[in-house]
Amino acid sequence: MRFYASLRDDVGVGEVTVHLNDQSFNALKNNLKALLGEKADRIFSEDGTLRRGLMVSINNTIIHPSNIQKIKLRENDVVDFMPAPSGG
Amino acid sequence: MKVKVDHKLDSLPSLIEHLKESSDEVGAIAIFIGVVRGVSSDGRVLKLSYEAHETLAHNVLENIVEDVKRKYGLIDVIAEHRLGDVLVGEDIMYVLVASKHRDEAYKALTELVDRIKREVPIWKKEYTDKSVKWILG
Repeated sequence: MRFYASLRDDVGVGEVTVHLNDQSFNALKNNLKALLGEKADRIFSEDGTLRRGLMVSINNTIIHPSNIQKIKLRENDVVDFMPAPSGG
Repeated sequence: MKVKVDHKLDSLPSLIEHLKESSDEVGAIAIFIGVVRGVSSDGRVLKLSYEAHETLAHNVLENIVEDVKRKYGLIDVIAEHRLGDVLVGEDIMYVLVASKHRDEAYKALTELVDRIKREVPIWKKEYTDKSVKWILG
């Protein structure tokens, strides 16, 4: 997993590798929470959903927030967490 | 159509010339130039620093340009955005739209700039004489 811009500063790390017990996004979320502790709150809301405005991509394909629970992760997938754009 | 997310922008005259040469049907070229403003709510700006998810930024920018080009029946579009440090007064972004008539060029240009700022995974950090902070989208 990689973290970009302000999100990288918020969680204090640019990149982490995790090994999941299953392929679900929930498994990834639980791993992240164990790794980052309270800093995972910058990514997930209290109800466990992705914070509004954050972008997620898997292997350079953006995943719409409504589809995030449906994803099946595979070995060597690269998951990117990004804040809302602020270019221009 | 040309998109670019890079540390250097192409020269504006060369981009205008490229559009003029793209078709003899071109009757209007509308241009947006994003420039680093010298003042912000946090004081005097020293520079902005841009970071992107470069692969995604290029792909998203390309999709936006294709989408808007199709929607307004444009002849050609160029969109370029800088990365890295950009000093006050320097250019950040060029968006150029070539069309038969000015009306669709104006509308398309506004939509393109809005969508690029809102959708392309590029982020800026603002350095002023008082603070350094990420600008949140």
